Amino acid sequence: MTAERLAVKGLIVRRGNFIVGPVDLHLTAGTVGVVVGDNGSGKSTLLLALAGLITVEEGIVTLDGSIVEGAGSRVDPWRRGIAILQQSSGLWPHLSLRQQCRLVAGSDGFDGAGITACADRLALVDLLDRKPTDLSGGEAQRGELLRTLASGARLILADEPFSGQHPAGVEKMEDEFRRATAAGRSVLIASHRDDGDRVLLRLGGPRRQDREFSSPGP
Amino acid sequence: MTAIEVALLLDTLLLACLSAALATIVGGSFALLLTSYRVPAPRLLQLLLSLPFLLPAVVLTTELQALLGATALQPLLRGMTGVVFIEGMRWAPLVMWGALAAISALPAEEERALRLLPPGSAALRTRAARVRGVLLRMGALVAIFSMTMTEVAGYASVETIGTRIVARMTLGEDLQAWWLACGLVVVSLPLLLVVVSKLLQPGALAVPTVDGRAGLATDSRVNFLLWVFGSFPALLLIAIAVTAVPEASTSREALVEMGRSLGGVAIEFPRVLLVGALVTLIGWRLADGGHLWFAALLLIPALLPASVVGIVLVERVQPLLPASLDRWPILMTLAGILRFAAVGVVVGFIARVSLPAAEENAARLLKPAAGRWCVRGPRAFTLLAAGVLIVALLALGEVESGLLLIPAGHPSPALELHQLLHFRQDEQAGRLSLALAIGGGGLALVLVPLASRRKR
Repeated sequence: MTAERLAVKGLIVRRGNFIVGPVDLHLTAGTVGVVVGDNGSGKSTLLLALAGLITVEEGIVTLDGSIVEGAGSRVDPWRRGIAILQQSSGLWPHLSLRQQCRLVAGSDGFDGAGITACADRLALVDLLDRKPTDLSGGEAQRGELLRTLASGARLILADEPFSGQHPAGVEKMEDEFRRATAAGRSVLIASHRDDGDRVLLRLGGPRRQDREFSSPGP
Repeated sequence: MTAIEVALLLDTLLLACLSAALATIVGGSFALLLTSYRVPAPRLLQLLLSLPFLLPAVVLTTELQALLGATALQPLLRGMTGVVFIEGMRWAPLVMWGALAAISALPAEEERALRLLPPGSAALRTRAARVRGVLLRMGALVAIFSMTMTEVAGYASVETIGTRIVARMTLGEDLQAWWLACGLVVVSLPLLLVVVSKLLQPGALAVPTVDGRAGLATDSRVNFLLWVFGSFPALLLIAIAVTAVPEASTSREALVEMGRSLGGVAIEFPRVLLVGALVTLIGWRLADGGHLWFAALLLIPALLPASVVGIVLVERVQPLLPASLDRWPILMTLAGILRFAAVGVVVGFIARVSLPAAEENAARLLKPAAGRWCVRGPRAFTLLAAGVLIVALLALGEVESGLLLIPAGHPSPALELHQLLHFRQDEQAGRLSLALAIGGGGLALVLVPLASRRKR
């Protein structure tokens, strides 16, 4: 039986008069899941809520069987074992890519050789000692994926990870996601592109109104 | 509180609001013009326009009096007009710095789009609308800090609530003085809390990524206007230099005295920099940890006249210290920390919300100490360096608490200057003012480029 990595039950997030949820979601360990929705449907909000970076109004989030949000408990974001690849670049401009990877790598994260190997696969090995301001948009996006992977997090949240990538770049990133899942890590991608059987949840409906979303079911 | 004192409180409020309005209009206009147009030697111009803040209030007032005293503009320096004019000019550079920081922090795409608009109207108006919030908040801060004014008001012969409190304390009417001080805090603190909470809006300042002045328009009228205003502080400096030329003393004596003055300023530098660094670091650390209530407590001393802080330290803290420590400027440093803690808190909170949301989110996934010291701290460096500079300059020019707390034999250029001017030793005062201007300008020249280099 495959272990459940992420379980979300009745999650509601409110940002002003914009409500996302209630959301139910299940993601097994070592798999890639996709949340699909139009622009403004709340995909980014959902990912930020799962990472603990915005306040959740209602619902329960369980990671590897432990409740990290809801039922009276809230685990700090940095203790959850989650990494996030955001839509806007979250790279820190004062540090080189290598320094950023070292900073995020915990005990389960990449060592120096691991960082170099992963950078090589993402065509970033020559750019490791550059700062984000010296990278193109696509390179910075792959650089942020490198930092996300280097953290060794069990669950990787990726918000529109392929926007702004040329096809070869998309292929390299997909390869890294596959490699991560093969190592037992899970990936949840937010995208507006329907991704067939990997889709776990469809978000939709008009902006700034209360609405409900549902999983497509097993 | 008597009816007269209530009227005095309202007068002070009016003076503070008018001074803040003048500072906001002048400082905001300079910042908008400096960032919207390609002006020649912008750094030098910024330094010249900052001069009124780099000089202690006593120097600014006396030199303005020397420059304008014999002209038709003399009434500008008298009474309430004088207070508004001098306070407004004195705080305008601070508003200018705040607006410059906000404008330079506009996202790159937005700034590039602005540079494609016609410069004279659309771009300037749009830029002004974009930083209006920051300008209003800076103006409100100046108004609140001006509520405690005593020094400039004293030179312009105007009574404010601050001068009344100091007068009551001097006469030994401590209880009445404390009631007045409480009234001042009760009026000012809620306003200050509102302004500080408004400064907490995330994303108010975004990513500084646009380099250089590429795409900025040039306009000879703007150049002329800015250089005319910039030459006024330069004239002030020339007036100081002319006053400092030895007439009553020999050149040798004057040189020795100038060297001594510069030495005195240099000796004070480590102390005022320590005050600036401590205050800014404490403010930022409180902001970073989200300790709002403790930060609010630190705002209170800024709402009291400096003399009140000095008197409290002399009466309550000095007796607790061993006599052997009397020769060190410990209480003076403590007064500076208490007095300017509010500046540190404001700078700390601005630095805290200036990090783009995506970077902040990524930092929150790190261990708290790593997020704080490896990401948020270095990213806040520019603003924190500006905070250190502002507090150091304020502490260097502080006279009121210094009068009460200075240890015997310790150099305090601002206090010495105050006394020299009191006894009309203009020539010596000119040399000391020049030393202070050189010291303040040098500090700005060292800290500002250091901060700009680290910001990208």
